[in-house]
Amino acid sequence: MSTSGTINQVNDEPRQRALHAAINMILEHHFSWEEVHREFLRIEAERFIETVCEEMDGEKVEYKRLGNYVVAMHDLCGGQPVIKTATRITRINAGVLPAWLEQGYTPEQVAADFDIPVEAVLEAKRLELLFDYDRSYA
Amino acid sequence: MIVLDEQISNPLVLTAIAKWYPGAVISIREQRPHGKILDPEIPAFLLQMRQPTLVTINYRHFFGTQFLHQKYCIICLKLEQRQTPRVPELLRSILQRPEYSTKAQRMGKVISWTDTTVTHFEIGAA
Repeated sequence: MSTSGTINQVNDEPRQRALHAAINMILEHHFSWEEVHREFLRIEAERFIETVCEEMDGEKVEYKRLGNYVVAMHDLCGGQPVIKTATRITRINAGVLPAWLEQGYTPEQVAADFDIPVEAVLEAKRLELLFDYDRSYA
Repeated sequence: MIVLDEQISNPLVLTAIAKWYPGAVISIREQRPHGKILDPEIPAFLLQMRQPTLVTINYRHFFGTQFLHQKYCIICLKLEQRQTPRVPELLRSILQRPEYSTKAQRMGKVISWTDTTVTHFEIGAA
């Protein structure tokens, strides 16, 4: 598939509208390309959020699955993304983990401190580009 | 007793608070190690403790009058999740204020900290 071409050559109408919106954000509202890029990644990522129902600790729970470990649940931290492990849905906001990494702690240290898998820490860091951890998804 | 919401309960924060706070400092997770702890369940946990002060950054959900209760205090920090390493110093500054420095003064209040103000709702206040 070729990725070159002008905006008017894009046949996918929603995508064409998105490109026009992106240009409008840059020209009219002075967003940087990075801001526009991030915004569009987030819009796309939301299309992949699934609702999952499973049994945990003897009761049925329903949550939005943003990743393997990052989930959002109604009435849990206001629906903001949190970390789920095999045995519990924590109240650990996904956004706090990158903060500790930025303080210089290793993923292994952060995982041990919060008693969660290292993979959860790494996923929270990775998905921070795709999701706004301060908003509600559930 | 200081009770930290789970997102700010890591050993670094607990230890930093325990250095200057004379009472117990625990995580809400200790009340239920497995499963989930929903926002509306937290008041019931607090009522099982003696004069607890819950500290949370879940500001939007907890700051208001709906969780006011004479037997506990809630401190809501309006912090971005990235700023959680600041929790110990902020909590200390709040608890050093004359109006919040003792448990008796704090009970029945939901306290808000933001970058610009510290304020609270209180049982019985107009």
